Amino acid sequence: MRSVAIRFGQMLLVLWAVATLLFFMFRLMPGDPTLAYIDTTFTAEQQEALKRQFGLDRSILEQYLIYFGNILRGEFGTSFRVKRPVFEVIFDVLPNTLALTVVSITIAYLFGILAGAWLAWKRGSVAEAVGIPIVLTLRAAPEFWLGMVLLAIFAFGLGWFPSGGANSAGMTFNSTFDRLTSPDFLHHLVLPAATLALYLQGLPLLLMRSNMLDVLHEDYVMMARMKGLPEWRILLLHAARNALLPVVTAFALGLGASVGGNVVVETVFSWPGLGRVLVDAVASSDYPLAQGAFMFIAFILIVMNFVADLLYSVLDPRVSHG
Amino acid sequence: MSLLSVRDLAIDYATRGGTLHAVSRGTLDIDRGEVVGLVGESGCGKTTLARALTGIVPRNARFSGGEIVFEGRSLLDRPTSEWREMLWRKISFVPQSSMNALDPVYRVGDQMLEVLRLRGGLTRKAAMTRSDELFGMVGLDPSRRAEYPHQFSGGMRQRAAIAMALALEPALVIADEPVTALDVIVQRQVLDTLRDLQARFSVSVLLVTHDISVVAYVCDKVVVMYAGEVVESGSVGEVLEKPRHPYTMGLTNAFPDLARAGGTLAPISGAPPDLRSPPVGCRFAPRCPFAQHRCTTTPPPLTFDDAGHGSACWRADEAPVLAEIAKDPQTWTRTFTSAA
Amino acid sequence: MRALRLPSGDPLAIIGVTIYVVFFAVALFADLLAKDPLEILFLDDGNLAANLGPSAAYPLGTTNLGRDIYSQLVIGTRSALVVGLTAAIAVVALGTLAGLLSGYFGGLADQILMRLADIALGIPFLPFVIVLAAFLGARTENVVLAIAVLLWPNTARVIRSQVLTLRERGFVEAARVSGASDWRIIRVHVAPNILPLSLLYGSIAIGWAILTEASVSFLGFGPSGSVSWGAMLQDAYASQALSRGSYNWFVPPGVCIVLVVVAGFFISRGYEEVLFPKLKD
Repeated sequence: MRSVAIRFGQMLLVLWAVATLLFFMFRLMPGDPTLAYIDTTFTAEQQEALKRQFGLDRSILEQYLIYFGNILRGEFGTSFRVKRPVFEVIFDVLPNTLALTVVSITIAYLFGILAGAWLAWKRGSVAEAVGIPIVLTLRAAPEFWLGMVLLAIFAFGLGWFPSGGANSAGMTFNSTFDRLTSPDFLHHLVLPAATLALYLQGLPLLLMRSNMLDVLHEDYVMMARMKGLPEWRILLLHAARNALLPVVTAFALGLGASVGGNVVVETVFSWPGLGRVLVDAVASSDYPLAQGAFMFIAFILIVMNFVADLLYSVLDPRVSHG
Repeated sequence: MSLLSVRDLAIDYATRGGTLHAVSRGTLDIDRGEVVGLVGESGCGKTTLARALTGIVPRNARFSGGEIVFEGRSLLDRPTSEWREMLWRKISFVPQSSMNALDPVYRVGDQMLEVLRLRGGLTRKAAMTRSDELFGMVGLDPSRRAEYPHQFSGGMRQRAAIAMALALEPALVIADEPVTALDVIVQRQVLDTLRDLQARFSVSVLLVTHDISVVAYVCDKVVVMYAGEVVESGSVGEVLEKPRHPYTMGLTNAFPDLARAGGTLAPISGAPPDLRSPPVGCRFAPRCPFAQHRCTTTPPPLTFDDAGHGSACWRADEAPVLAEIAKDPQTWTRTFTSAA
Repeated sequence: MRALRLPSGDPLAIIGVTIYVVFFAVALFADLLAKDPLEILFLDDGNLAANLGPSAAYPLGTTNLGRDIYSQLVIGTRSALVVGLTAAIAVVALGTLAGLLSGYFGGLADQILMRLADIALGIPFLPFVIVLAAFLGARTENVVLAIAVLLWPNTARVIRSQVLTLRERGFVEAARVSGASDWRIIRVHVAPNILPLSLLYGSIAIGWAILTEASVSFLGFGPSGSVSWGAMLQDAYASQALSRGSYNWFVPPGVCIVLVVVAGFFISRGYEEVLFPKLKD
């Protein structure tokens, strides 16, 4: 329990540090820092109101304190481009990003874990000699390029899948849930999810394989053999169960990193998600939206780093039953 | 008719530096209900030999000669499936350190149930009852079955390992340094438990150890290995009191009172040979204070007398005289150039 | 230690080194191998030589603006290697220094550096690089800087634990007792032992840097007017090369990126080190 409290404290420290970094980063940008919050196309009264809200007429220290107060209240201002509260814009696209991330990372990890365990079992075989270089090559391919190749072949060449977006134009749905489970959405999801999954599978696969190779040398695996247990049981319940621990941690870390790391894939497939919102906001100098999206992505990443830590201690009885 | 008879067993390891002949003369017999000690320095091949008797060898190891006859049937000729069927039901194993030999992510009781149900064919209920019984037999509180291996003390883990080894009432238990990782008092308790249960189940035990005092404490017979070869074997009384091989003399002369626990092997100057290219003659010759010319050219065979006391030394006839000389510690501290 | 053995006999490592040698040669002699990559080409009839397929004159065809794709690819090798090498050197230098200080001196220095590492791992990688490139200007140095600032902790942690085990061994303590200065101990006893590990991490960092730079260029935050593989891919994407099926345009730059990055992975030998650095403890 004490160590959990320490880890939680460290997480808060990191959150604070990243938020502070963000504050100063947005003062690094060229031109008037107040532009971070105020669009020049606003009316004079609007500009004054915003200056007061963000304390832009005060000292940098006061601005910093106000900035923190705003963050704690979830107040990130109003997007220049779409003239809506930043929080609303982010929450509109969040389901798309989460759907893409969760689907692709789940496929990637299921495949990677099984294939990694299998390759460890087949150590020294042709499967390994061919499989490892293929995995490394996929891992070396830029995600956006994988996406471009899939787009060219399956969307433009064969016409099997749409070339972008999350839904066809003109479709309406009763709820977000209806939309995310509609055939139309899933049809749009296939190519971006496949791209991400192709890219992501290398990590669990290589991690699982190397853990399995370590675990297969452990005495308890040899003992399981001496006990005459069935091969599949040794492989799955003894070797894989132990080798899986770090992979589960990597899954949590990967989930956190992917939410913000989908940036390029979302761009290639014009996927209306968090990463693309960030890219568009930065490209069009929509500072409030860029800052809000960045903070949100960082928040998810940091929290998932913490969850990964906790998960490990829950799954490993040596830690949880100390 | 012995339970297990191993003749000239040879086991090679494929290593980066070439083929390592870990065991080249594994020869031993175990009768029903007998406790046999297998002693030697670390790296002499005793653990390799013992583990190989379970049929489970590392990936880079292979049987390159000899035979293993168990209950009258040769094991090495049997198909793998048949050998596997026999595992744990006929021959079980107690590891050196059960910290690593018990799976860290499962409760100790569940690991016991796994063996009882999957290999013993017991129902869940029957397995639970049997598990509690076994826990009690080795002096463990059955309520601790719900704990994980890391929550057990070293002695408790070894007790659990012994209980697990006896679970299916095998004919032979191979124990690889079962008490080495424990402190002396706990060693004695665990050995008492082992000996007690051995007598009760009349199971045979092959006890691998580097500790002569452990052999003297619990074994009926002893087999001495050096550099991959069995160099002497026989009843504990015979071998320890009237050793015929100089290596055994070196081992035993540091133990005037063999019943006293806690001793270690006497230091013999020099180091064992590289098993990738062992000496041509007797492998002990480079370290032997009594080595003669023929010892360095021709390996002595392992020969047995009528009482079953076997040794592999060209000068075994002179053993009583040599043993007297060997009692002088000076004999062992001299450095030897190759005997000419 | 397995990771420290030079991968001389490993076929994958040999392939990796060969790939590096070829790309270095191409970068070195790029001017001889290629024409001006930005020159707009015209056909004999005076029309723009746009969207041509591969031919003897243009081995990989031309872009929609009539530029020679082959020449862009060859010249692009330079920026890829420059970014890859400078970023790798920066990452490894920062990481090695931090790992050395943290592991050797311990105490407060260790605490501070490891908390900094936590913070760096809490910053979303690509978003940070994009924001920095947008605010500080779309220059290669800024991309390299962003990569160095975020990726050093991985190398630092590995170096730190290596230094800790070195300290456990006798010779560092012996040197200290004999009155050697910290600087001398680090230089003579510690540094030579961690150098191979640093180089190993460097060979992987080259790959991450090239991938990152390509992503940043693809997203449109790269240096404008420069020729790089990432920029070529952005150009191809924005110019509908995908819907036209101009595989000759967007496949070669991607293949080149894959080759250079995978070469680093192959050389590193320890496949587990290939895991994305931000995800590794």
